[in-house]
Parts: sequence; C-alpha cells; structure tokens
Amino acid sequence: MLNLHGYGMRLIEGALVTVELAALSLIIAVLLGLVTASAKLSKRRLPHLLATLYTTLIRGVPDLVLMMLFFFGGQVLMNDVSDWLYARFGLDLFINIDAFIAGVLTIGLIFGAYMGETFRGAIQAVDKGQVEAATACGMSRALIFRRIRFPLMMRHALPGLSNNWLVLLKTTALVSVIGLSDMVRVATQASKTTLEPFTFMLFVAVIYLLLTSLSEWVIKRLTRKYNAGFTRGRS
Amino acid sequence: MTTMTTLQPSESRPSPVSSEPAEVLLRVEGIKKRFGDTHVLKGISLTARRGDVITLIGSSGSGKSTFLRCLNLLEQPDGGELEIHGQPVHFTTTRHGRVPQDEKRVQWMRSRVAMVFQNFNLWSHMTLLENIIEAPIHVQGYSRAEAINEARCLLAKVGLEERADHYPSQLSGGQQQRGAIARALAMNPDVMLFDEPTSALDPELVGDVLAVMRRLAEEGRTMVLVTHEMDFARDVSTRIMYLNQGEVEEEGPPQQVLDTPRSNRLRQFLSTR
Ligand SMILES: Nc1ncnc2c1ncn2[C@@H]1O[C@H](COP(=O)(O)OP(=O)(O)OP(=O)(O)O)[C@@H](O)[C@H]1O
Ligand SMILES: [Mg+2]
Repeated sequence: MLNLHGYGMRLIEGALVTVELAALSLIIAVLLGLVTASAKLSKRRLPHLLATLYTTLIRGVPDLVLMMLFFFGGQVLMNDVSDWLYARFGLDLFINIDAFIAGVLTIGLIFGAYMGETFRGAIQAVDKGQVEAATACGMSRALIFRRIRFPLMMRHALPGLSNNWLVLLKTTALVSVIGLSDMVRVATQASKTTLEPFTFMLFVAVIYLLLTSLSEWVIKRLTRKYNAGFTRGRS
Repeated sequence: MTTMTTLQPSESRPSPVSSEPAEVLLRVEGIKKRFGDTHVLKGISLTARRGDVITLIGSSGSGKSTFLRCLNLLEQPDGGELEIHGQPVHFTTTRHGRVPQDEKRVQWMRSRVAMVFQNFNLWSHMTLLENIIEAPIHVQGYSRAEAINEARCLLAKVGLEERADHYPSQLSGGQQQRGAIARALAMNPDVMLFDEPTSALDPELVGDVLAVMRRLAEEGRTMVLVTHEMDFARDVSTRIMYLNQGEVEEEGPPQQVLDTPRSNRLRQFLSTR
C-alpha cells in the first residue's frame, strides 16, 4: 500500500481542484467553441476574422506559454491598472488575479479554439432539410437549436469533443506552474519534502487514469444516446 | 407491407355547387421573388378555399418549389401580399431585404400551413412517434398524452401503426413519406403544401403515398401541391396552375387545362409527359 506520509487529505483536495478546474474549463470551452464555430460560419467579415485570429493564435502557441502569458501578463496589466487608479484618483486597491479563475479562463480559452473547429464541422454536417422541416412547423430558432440542431450536431461533434475533453483534463496539470494547489502541485511539494517522488507521482497518475476511465464510460453512454436512429438496419 | 385497402371509406368532399363559396384559407397576391438578377417569380397569385386541391405543374426551373416555399415563408418573397385565414403578414424593408415584421406571427402562420418535402426530412434522431408529437407539444402546447393519442390515430390513418417506434433510417422511403404526412397532419393545419412528394421514391412505393394523399383530398383537406403525376393531378385537383418562367401561363379546372390547353407551350409540356 502507498505510504502518503500524511499528505493523503491534501492530495484528495488537490484532486477536487483538478476536477472543478476541468469541469468549469469545459463549460467555458464549449460555449466559446459554439460562438467561434458560428462566427466562422457567419457570412459577415468581422466575426469571421476575429474567430480566425483567435484559433490561429491559440493553435500556434504552446499551452504552457499561453498559460504563463495570460496569468503573469494579466497580473502585470492589473498592477498597471491599480497603479494608474492610485495615481489618478488616489484609489488604493490591489487587484490580485486569482489562480483558480485564471486557470479556468486560460484552459477554457485554449480549448475553446479546438472546440470551435470540432463544432464547425459538426454544424456543417447537420442536414439542412431537417432544420427546414422544423422551421416549416413554426418552431422558433431557439427551439430548433435545442430540439433539432443540437442533438443532430452532437452526433458529429461527440468524437472530437471527447478527445478534447481527455486532453483538457490532462492539461490541468499545467496550472501548477501558476501556483494553483491542484493535485500535481501538492504531489510535487510532497515529493520534495519526503524525497519519494515515485510514490506521489504514481498516486497522481492513478487518479488521472480513474478520471479518464470514468470519462470514457460517460462518453460511451452519450454516444449511444446521440447515435440513436443513426445505426442503419431494417427491422 | 401495409396497404391502403384497410382505410375506411371517407366522407364525400364538399359539393362544388353549394350556394356559398367556401371560406378562403390562404390568399397570396402578386408574389415576386428573385435570386440575384434572376426573376424566379414574377407576380403569382393564388386563392385556396377550404377543400381546394390546387396543383402546380411546369417544367424544371419554372419556379414551382420557390412559389410553394413562399407560401409558408421558408422563402421571403420580395413583393406581394400573403394572408392566412384572413390574417395578413406584414413586411418591412431592412438592410437584409424585405422581411416579415413579426417573427412570432410568421411562426404561427407556418404552424397553420404544413409542408411535406420531396426528401421527407423526418428528424433522424427521433422515432416516428416522436417526430409526430414534436410540434403539437412544443409549438402548439398540447400535453404529451394528448399528442400521443392523436399521433396513434394519424399513424393508423397512414398505415404505419406498427412502425411508431422505428427511427426514420429503419423505414422505407414510402413509409417515411407517409410518416412525414402524418407529422404535417398532426398540427391540424389549414393548408398542406406538398413539393413533389413522390419524386424521391422507388416506383413501387409511389402508390401508397398517393393513396394517402387522395384520401386527404377526399376528406376535404385544403392542399397545394407540385407533382409530375398527371393522372393523379387530374383525379384529385380542383384547379391546375401551369407555371412557366415564374408566371402563371394557364390555370383552371383539370379537364380544361389538361385536355384543352390553349397555350402552345403547355401543349408541348403535356405531350412530353
Ligand atoms: N436558393 C436559390 N438561389 C439561387 N437560385 C435559386 C435558388 N432556389 C431556386 N433558384 C433558381 O430559381 C429557379 C426556380 O427554381 P425552383 O426550384 O423553384 O424550380 P422548380 O419549378 O421547382 O423546378 P424543379 O421541377 O426542377 O423542382 C431555378 O432557375 C433555380 O435555379
Ligand atoms: Mg422543385
């Protein structure tokens, strides 16, 4: 059995941080991805240009670099803003970027770009005739999205979405560099004090493996749900 | 394979010689539509009274589909007026062209004018029953139980009661189209539009779909349809409109239009059928 030298509780807390971070980042990434995909499919120039700029930037720069850029760059910006506020209005407030929020926003922003590509293909794959049939029934655009477009799109998006999720989950390990006490950071500290890195990294690896296996199980169920009606075969 | 022979004999259609003309359900005046520089519709008018079956004929590209799509505003006409059940649709001109003033009104109107498509367009992620109850529940606000009851009656009517829980991919083209007709009927629309409903079907499946449509016509359903099935058109239509290059070249009762055509072009068109 693993001897965790009393770090067990803190590691579990770290694992919870990892899960929360991943889940919130996923939500942001999905929303951003939907917006980006619609912008890229839009006939208007400006949204299209902005979306292209965004995805090009994100895909061209390593995640780790982006994360430090956003976090430390963001902090410098905030310091400048508070200096300016102090000089100009005598307001003395120090805005500190919260590592958790910064982590969520950064990972969300990074994966939003990848989700955008996934959703773009999926939206294009939706049969226009089925959307038209819904329009012809008097459904509103919101209702059509919820009842027709989204489920039809999900069938095409799910493989890419699942893949992005698994990578996103593992990318959360990067937030330890910005000082967030996720599972990896706790394990790193514990390794340093106890000089048993193997023990702690093994623990972390097992937790990640559990999380990804759980994800695979959920993905399988979702795939079954959104593939209903698409498996050909006559009765 | 279910056949239509199980259907009950239907009530007779409203007598054409009744003293008062039937109520006007759909009226359009001078519908115009262009795509870029091509004028696809050059001012077409149509009045559908209760029980009318109006068939549009014409060669490929004459604008039949575009006109039909204008009737429930899947396509926005650039000019002309549109009235359903005496309620006009108002248009305004914006940067994006001429659009209906009130989206809610358009949605209501579409729910009164149902459309059956050439490619069926059943929602592939729903079973046949779910397809049929979708709009009654989410657009018209019926309870699930009410909608399911009604849907089962409609499925029986189109000979698909055993197929309720099948997905569209598990049905033949003819079954899908009869399902699509049931889905349209579920909204109890004032007018039903059909755009070449049998053109995508294998020849042996056409008969079942036409039988369902024939029965709807006999029940006094108001329908506007595009079809190349001339015998069927002759039997069920109250009026036939011949479209040529976005204009109505000739119209009237089927015998008159099909047997004694006045224009050369129509004569030529009919001789190639
Ligand atoms: N969305 C569109 N954009 C540009 N042109 C279009 C569009 N829809 C239709 N058209 C053009 O409008 C004309 C009329 O088309 P429409 O589909 O109404 O003809 P149709 O009578 O239904 O022909 P068919 O018998 O082949 O179905 C055609 O020349 C077609 O190319
Ligand atoms: Mg057509």
